[in-house]
Order: sequence, then C-alpha cells, then structure tokens
Amino acid sequence: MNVRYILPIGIFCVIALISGVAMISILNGDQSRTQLPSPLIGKKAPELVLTSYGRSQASSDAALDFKQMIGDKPFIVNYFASWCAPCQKEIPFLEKLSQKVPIIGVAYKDKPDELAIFLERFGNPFLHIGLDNDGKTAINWGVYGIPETFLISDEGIIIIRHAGEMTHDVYRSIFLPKIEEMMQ
Amino acid sequence: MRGVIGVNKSAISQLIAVLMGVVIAITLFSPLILKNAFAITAEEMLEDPVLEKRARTISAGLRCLVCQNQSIDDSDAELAIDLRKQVRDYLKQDMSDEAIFLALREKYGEFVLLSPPIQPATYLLWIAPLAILGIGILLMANLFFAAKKNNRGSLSQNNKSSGLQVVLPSSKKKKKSETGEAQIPDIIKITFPVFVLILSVAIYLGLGRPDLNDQPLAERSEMRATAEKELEDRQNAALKAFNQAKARVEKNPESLSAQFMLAATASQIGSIEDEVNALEKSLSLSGGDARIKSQLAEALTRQADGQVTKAASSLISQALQTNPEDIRALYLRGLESFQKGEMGDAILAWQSTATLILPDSPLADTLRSDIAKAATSNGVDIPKIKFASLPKSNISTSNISDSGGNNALIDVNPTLFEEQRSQFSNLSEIEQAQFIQQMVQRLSDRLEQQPENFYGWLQLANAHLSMQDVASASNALNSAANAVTSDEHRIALIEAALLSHTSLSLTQLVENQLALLPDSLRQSNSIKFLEGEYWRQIGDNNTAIKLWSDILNEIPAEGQQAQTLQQLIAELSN
Repeated sequence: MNVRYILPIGIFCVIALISGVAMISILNGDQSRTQLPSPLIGKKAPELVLTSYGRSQASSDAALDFKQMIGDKPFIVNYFASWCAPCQKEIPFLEKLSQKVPIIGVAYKDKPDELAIFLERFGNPFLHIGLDNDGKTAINWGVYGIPETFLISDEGIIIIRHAGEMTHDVYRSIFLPKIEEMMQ
Repeated sequence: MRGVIGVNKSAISQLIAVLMGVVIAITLFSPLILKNAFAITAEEMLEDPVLEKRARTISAGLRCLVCQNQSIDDSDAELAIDLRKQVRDYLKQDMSDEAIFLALREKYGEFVLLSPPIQPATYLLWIAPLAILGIGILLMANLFFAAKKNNRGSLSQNNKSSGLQVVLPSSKKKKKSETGEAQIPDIIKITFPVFVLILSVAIYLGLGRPDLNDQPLAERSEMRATAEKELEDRQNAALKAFNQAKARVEKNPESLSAQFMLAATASQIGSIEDEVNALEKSLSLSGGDARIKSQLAEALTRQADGQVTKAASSLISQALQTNPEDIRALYLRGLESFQKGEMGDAILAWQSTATLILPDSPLADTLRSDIAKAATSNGVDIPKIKFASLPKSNISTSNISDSGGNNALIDVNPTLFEEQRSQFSNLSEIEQAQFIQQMVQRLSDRLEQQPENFYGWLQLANAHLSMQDVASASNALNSAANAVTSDEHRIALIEAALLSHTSLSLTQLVENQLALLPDSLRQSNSIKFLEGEYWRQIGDNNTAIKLWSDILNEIPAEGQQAQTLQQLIAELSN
C-alpha cells in the first residue's frame, strides 16, 4: 500500500484517539473545578451592604458592623439560596456549627417568602441574613457558585473560602485547624 | 472505459468536498449565530455603541467560572450575566479596560482571564494546531511533487499515444501500479469518509448534544441506569402484588381485606378504575367505614384529575362527621373549597390538617405550598402554619420489633397475629402514622449501612405493611431473606411474611424458606401451624385444616391454644 493513503488515515486515527481519550477523561474526572483558589484569602473581607431579612426596622442598606454584631471572634459568612439543593443539605450541619461559630447568611438572589419557607423547613442557623438581590455582593466576594462558605478572622480577614456543601468532614479538615490556630 | 470511471470518481469526490465544506461552514459560523441568538440580551446593552463594543471585547476575555470553557460573553449562566452587568457598570464609571480586568482578577483570581496558561497539561493544546499545520504542509508538498512527477509521466505517455484514443488495458494497469491508485479499492475510498461522518454525528448526538446536562459522563449514565432499574423493580413488584390481589378477590369476592388490598395495590400501579371499584366494594362490605369513605373520596378526586366531584364531596362530609380529625378528608375539604374559590375556608381546612401531621411528613410540603397559593390568590399574607409536634407516647420500638419474634416462636401461639395488631391499633391513627414514619426513616437509613441486619429488615417490612405499602414491605422481606443466617431467622421471616396476611408476592418466599428448614423443625407444632397458615392464605383450606388438626391431636385439648385452633379450623370448614 502506498504511504500517501496510509499516512492521512493513520494521522486521522491518532488524532481521533487522542481527542476521544481526552474528552472522556475530562467528562469523567476533573474534580478540581469545584475548588478554585480565591485571591481574597488573607485580605480584608469586603463589606456586606445588604437589605437585612426579617427585620421590620429599616436598618437596611448600611454595611454590616461585624465587630458590633459578633465581637472579637472569628465567624463564618455563608452564601446560600432557598432554590439550591446543597444549601438545603448543609443547613443541619450549619445549625450545629452555629453553636460554636456565629454564621452570617447571605441569601443570593432569593425571594423573602421562599426564604421563609426554606428557613422554617430546614432550620435557621444564621445570626443575621442579608439579601443579595442583584448578585453584586457575591461578585464582590468572588463567589462563583453557591453554596460558598467563608471563614473570617476576628480582625475581619478572609481565612478560608470553601465552594460547595459544608460538611462535618470539610469543617474538621479545613476549618477547624485554622480556627484553633486563631484561638491560640 | 477509463474515462467513465474517472467521471464517476470526480463526481463523488466533488460531492464529498461540498458536504465537508457545508459542515465546516456550519461549524465555523455557529458560534456567531448562537452567540447572537442566546447570550446577550438587548436590555443588557449599553446605549453608547463605543462603550458597548468595549464591553463585548472585555467580556470575551473573561472566563465564565461556572462553565469554565466559555467566555462570559457567550455564556447564559446566571453568574456570566451578572459579570457582564458588572463590566458595563465599571465602564459607566469610566474605568479603563486594564482596570476592569484587574478588578475582577482581584476577586476571582488569574483563572477569570480566559487565555489558557502554558503549562504541562496544556502543551498538547498549544502545540496541536502548529503540529497539524506542519503535517498538512508536508502532505501538500508530498502530493504536489507526486502530481508533478505524475504529470510529467502522463505527458510523455500522451505524446507517445497521440492519435490513439484507446488506452490499452495493459498500459493502464502499468500506470495504476506506478501511482499506487489501484491498491485501495474505490469502495473504501468512498465509504470511509461517509463512515467517519456518520460516526462523528453519532458521537456528537450521544455525548455532545447541547441539551444534555453538564454532568460527568459516567455519573450521568450510572444515575440513569440505577433510576431506571429501581423504577422497573418497583413497578414489577407492584404489578405482581396487584395480580395476586386480583386473583384473591376473584376467589373470594366478599372478603373485605381482599378488596381493600386490591385497592391498595391498584393505587400503586396507578390503575384508578380498579382502585375506585375495589374501594366501592370495600365500602359496602365494611358497612360504610368512615376511613374507606375518605379513601374513596381521594380516589374519585384523582380520577377526576384533581377535581373534587359531588360524590367525593358527600363522602368527605360523611367521613368528617364520623371523625373530624380524618387527615385525608380534611385535606380534601380544603381542596374542595379552594376549587370553589372559597380561599378562606380552604386555608382554615388546610391549617387544621397541618395541626394533625408532622412538619416533615410528605403532605406537609404540599400543605405549605397550597396554603401559600390560597393566601396569595386571596391577596392576604401567608399565614403561619402550625404542625403537630412529636407525640409523647410511651410505646417503644420493642412493641414492634418483637413481632418478628425471637424466642416466642417455638411456642405455638395462634393469637400472635391478632395481639400485635390490637396493640398497635390502640394508638390513635395519627400517632400510628407519625410513629411509623419516624421509624421507617431511621430504619432504612440504618439498613443501608448494615444490610446484614436481619431483624432490622423485618421491622422495616412491618412498618411498611402498616402503611399498606405492600411493594416496599415485600422488598424489605426479600432483603431479610438475604440476611438469614439461622433457622430461627428463617422461622421469624416466615412468620413475618404470613403476618402480612396478604402474602401477595411472598408466597414464593415462604415456600422457599419452609423448604430450607430441617425436617426435625418442620415436624414441630409451631412450624406446622405456620405452614397451615400458609396453605390457608394461598387458598388450600383442606391442607391447612389437616395440618392444624395434627397439632390439635398433640396438645392438651383444654388449653387456650387448642380452643383457638379449633375455632380457626371451624372457620375454615365453613
């Protein structure tokens, strides 16, 4: 057989094989996309200028004063929404966690009445809930998919950003060592 | 002859070339078409065309972090839309392009910039286009030189044969072998590209179609397969149960339990006609039981596509007269008011329904959204819903868990079945439902971890049975059969299967387990009694009477057991 015919077919087959293998491995594997590094770590947490949920007095639209609300303690900021399934799943754990670490919730693009049903049904671990109606605050915090959970130090510095569901394992392996470090 | 072949070949290759051209054109232009069709909406755009153009350019260089391989300019993800708005806000604030890139990089990191970095994982990506170009050039050069050589060859041949229109077969053969054309049959040359085209279309439709979820391939197909299998298993079990219930009704049309079971199984396979019929018969056989009335009302409502009919409505009233706390009837009353437009009444009825159920029961969700719907369409605030709290009853799981019977077995106790039932029915209906619901949830969670827990499976089956969920119960009992490790287990399983009274899809299971017992045990009174019950349930009364009479001959005639047995035999003989 002539090289002129074998060569193109051969090259075609090799390319097809490589791209096929690459495609399948990308489709099956690649877990890394769930955790992108945040450049905000080690920086001061951006302000939370949000309408507060469930408070009748018009205390809205002023930046939250973390110090006044929590004192000199590390705390957690959790971005969530009533329409997001992992957010529902993590609530029971957050409720337990809220007994140790105060949690501020940011409801991302949520409706107050749906939020009310969500909180009644799954529980309310939040010390305070702010409504991020247009998603601007989330962008400011570099949020790319809810739920996302931030650990903030007593000085207001972002220590950890976890994208995805909060679980006991995540807390124990990632959050707890940092919290203990800070407490010392 | 050669000329004819030549024309054919070039026509086909032209056709293929045109086809490929069309495919390439579509591929090249589709991003443009799709981009304009889907991503950016008119309201997003800035009025100033210069700013808008800058916004588009910046967006094209920013990665959509949700889809990751798309720019935010052509992504429809929520975050991409927000980021596009953010970019335009920055532009309105007179920020420079660099400042905008920098601002977003500070929040999202290097990754938000779309040009892929040069690193080992992406070497292939960067090199591939160059490599393909190089290979292409080499191939072209090769073809070019070959054609030149060939041209020269055929020219000289043409010169030689000038004037001769017919090329001799021998010289044609020679020429073909020179260029190698004859080596690959035409059929392959034509079918191969077609095959490749079909293959790529097939791969695209299977893996790359845009309407498929953005889920990893293996997970997707695995999830689909298990879901399909589960559904199929459940449907099969339910259908089997239904057919057996039907057979039982045909044999014994005046039996209330048979009719009622037929209704339950019919509801599981979704055959509403059968369900309504069976419930109507059950109702008349029971002499107008209020619980069956509300069930029938529900079935009639479902039959009418969710509309509460007149017949259903009168049944609801009757059921509520007997028991004002009938959850089903109360809910349906609410639905009826809702459909009549009497929102206030609907909310009231649903609120009283809520006080009777636990906040995490399946009906609770429906109630929440129904009440919210009624309130909204009435223009009032969504009222607070109060659900029942956990009952403080003193009954513990042990009352049920012992139903499998650990050691009580070997004593013949014909009243065993009745006793457990009555113990349980001392509780109010709501208490029962709540109790069972909690238990089932806890149990099935635990059993997922420990499938070898035999008595756990028995408990689960029992709980399902008290909720009339025959299919789940028989599944649980079948799982229990896999966890059997001793004769004691075996007996407990047989007992539990027979305890269900329905036996339904379980006759096979009971038969197998009986056969697996050692002969010595099978001769014991307790097993004989169970075997008798088995025959009775599958309708062979004579064998049952025979077995039970055997037992009677062996036990003291005055005892309570003997009396109960005599009673049972007398019932069967009629």
